[in-house]
Amino acid sequence: MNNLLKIENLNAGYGGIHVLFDVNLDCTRGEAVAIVGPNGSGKTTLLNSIFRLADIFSGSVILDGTEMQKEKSHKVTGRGVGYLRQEGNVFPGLTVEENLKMGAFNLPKGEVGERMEEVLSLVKPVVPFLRRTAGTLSGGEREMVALAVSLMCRPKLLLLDEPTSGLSPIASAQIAELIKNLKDKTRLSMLIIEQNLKILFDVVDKCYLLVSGRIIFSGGPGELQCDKELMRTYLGLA
Amino acid sequence: MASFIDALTYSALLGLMGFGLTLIRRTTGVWNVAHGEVVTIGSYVALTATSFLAHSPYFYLPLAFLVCAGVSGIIFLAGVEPIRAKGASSILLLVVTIAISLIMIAVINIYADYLQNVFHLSSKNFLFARFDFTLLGQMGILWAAWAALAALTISYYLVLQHTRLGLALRALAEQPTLAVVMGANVKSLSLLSWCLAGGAAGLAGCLFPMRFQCHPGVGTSMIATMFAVSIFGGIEKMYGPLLAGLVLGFAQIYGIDLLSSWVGPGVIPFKDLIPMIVLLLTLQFLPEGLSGFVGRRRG
Amino acid sequence: MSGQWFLFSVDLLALFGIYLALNLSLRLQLGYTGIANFGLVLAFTGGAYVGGWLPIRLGMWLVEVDPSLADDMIWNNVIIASQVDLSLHGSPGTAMTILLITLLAAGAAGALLGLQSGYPAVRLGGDYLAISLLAFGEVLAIIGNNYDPVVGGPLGVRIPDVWAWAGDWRFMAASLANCALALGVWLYLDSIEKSPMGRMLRAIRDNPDAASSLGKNVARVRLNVMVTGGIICGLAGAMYTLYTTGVAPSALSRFDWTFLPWVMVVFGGSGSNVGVLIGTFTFILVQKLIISYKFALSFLPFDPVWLQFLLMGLVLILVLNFRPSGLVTEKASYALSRREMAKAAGKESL
Repeated sequence: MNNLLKIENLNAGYGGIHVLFDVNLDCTRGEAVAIVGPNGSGKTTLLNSIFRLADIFSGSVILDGTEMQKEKSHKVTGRGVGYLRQEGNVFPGLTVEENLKMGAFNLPKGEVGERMEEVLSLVKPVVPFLRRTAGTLSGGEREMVALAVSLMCRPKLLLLDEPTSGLSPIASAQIAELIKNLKDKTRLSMLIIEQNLKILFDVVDKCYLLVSGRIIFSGGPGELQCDKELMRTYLGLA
Repeated sequence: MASFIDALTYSALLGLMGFGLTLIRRTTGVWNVAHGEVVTIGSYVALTATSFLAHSPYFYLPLAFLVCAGVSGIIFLAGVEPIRAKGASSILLLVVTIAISLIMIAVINIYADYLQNVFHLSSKNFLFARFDFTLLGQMGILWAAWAALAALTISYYLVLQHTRLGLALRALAEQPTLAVVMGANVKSLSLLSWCLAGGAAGLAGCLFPMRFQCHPGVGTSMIATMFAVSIFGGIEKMYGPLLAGLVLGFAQIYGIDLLSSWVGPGVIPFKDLIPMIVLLLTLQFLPEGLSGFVGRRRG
Repeated sequence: MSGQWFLFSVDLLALFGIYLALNLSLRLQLGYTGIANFGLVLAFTGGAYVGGWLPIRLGMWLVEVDPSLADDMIWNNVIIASQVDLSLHGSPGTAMTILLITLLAAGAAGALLGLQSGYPAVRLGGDYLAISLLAFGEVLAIIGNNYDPVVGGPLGVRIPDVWAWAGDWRFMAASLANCALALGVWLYLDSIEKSPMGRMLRAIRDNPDAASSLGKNVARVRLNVMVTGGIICGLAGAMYTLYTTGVAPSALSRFDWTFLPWVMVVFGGSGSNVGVLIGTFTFILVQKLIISYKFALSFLPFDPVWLQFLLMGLVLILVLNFRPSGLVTEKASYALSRREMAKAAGKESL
């Protein structure tokens, strides 16, 4: 089976609040999948439910053939999933190096140094700040560090929640360049939430449009771009 | 000289008590009001063991550590964690620890009544000074209390700075959700912190009656002072309670002696006000506490 | 109704009035602005100390008493109090003057203590503030226990009975007065509830930054609430002292006057007056029953009073686990009625 992640009829939310309704999604190895949609449509909840940070009411999340919905949150990383959260994605009081070490918390101790070298060769811009405290970095630098941190656990699947939100166009372009690079150099699968569609379209292989907790479109980026109605109504792009 | 030694001893005990409060607040974001009762349990472990099994109370320090670590762990698992898992605010968690503290006050008093009524022990007022040894001309309690506090603070500091576990504990204190995403088991790390905090309180409780009068409300009556130690020391660094314990202990015992020689003996009964005054001044002028201040100056 | 039950009910009513006033003050602070005041006992003790200090001095001044007794007010307090009592028997006017002046002073003391605790409340928030207030709550107990001139140190003092003129109905009158205080506080909170002020307070509680960006002076409002809360606690403290005609620092404990009110309010729900009332009544009843039936439990090898602590702790844990907002939950308050809103929206109904 080539499916790395398969989400079937997922209903999820927080406590009594139902956010996602019968969501189906899959992602094969080496594929970059974009989840787009208006604010509040449940994109982050979808990523959170893979990590069990949201409550799963019914349906299943299957990663590499294993059902994940019974797994405890802290065990998910160990199954090869990295998660770059939109907010609170670095430990501000720790140095960048410590942040990276923490990112490799699930790896055997002996592999941490080796992995750090690999990650630093992929995310080179982080190298100069290794000794700095993460809280003192600028927004763009911090995002870069957070990306590096989420790669430390040797993920098969990387979840990226709006990696360029709140960044300047230059910093956004840098991040996009890194993501493209990652995709080309490694066989990493990615699930990306992104508002900045223009950056995405030449990276991703497949798009899902999520509106009010339901998937209303899935297909290649070209198909989505062709559907002027959807593009205008939900994404504000003509 | 006597009051100098008293102050030094008292400081170490305050530091041990504050250590646990700071540790719990730092790693799990809860102010544990029931910490005072955990200290009391330490004293009652010492009383029970010395009464029924003989030996010096020092012999039972490990036992007090274990019992109180267990009690503190149970408080976390049975009382705090279920409510925290539902996303309760820090205020509600504080109310939970108050509820636990009420239950523990009842249990401790019932136990003390029971010891008194059934075994005719003097369980409502006890002091073990007669069991103490002397070393280099000073009471053993002085050395024991400082050894315990120094060992705990230093070893905890080393763990924090140089091990993966320590890294995870520091990460947990900063961004709990991110720590989970990286694979840290927040529940067991929190449990570990609560147990260690309880253990420290147990040591303090076990040592307390070596020098000071103990009763069922001893920890309860000191909780305000413990909070003062913890806030004054600052919760950012684990050496905060040690520093604050020293300053407050000296202010309370040595300082009041000094003051009474100037102003007159009338001020002595008000020594318990000193921690409150220090707390008030801390909140006004040094909200990050002593260790935060030291850290700011350095870095 | 037999005499014993009559006394039981009257005492229940008296305590109920005091606690209801205190708990409503907690609700004002917690339910409206989110200030977790774990130092309720402070302003209450302040009021109680005023009640212990002032009436006997006012009495000596207003009524004929042997002036040589004033040499040692504390040592002679029982004699002075009973001499003043004799005169108060026949003169409700004097008694009520003493009561009014005492209440004014107690309110002022409560306001000052509220202001004092309000300072950290302006700078701090959340649990940090809560435990600071908890620690400060001990201050007056330390002073009262060690400085005899206030209320006679640990032994306490007896004070003149301002309700002496009511004769056999003395306890009834005092209890009704306590309930009148609670009623006053209730009406005050009720009037806030439906006013723009109430909505502003809740806005500050839910999002201080947003409220402040809308031009509300959050620090000032919080201070005001702390002062108002302090006044209510001070009045309750004085009324309690006047009801029991005595005060001892040991009776003004953190358990009785901070934790117990918290248990009641959390149990009933801080979102509504009715919830607070239910919580207050339930726990006063339980407490009175445990004390009344203490003798029936004398076979236990410990003091049955501890069962009360055990029970409260357990109830609190259960409530927090299964109904964290309390028995009665907060309802939204609307500026306009539904019909008026429909009219404004130009529709028949909403």
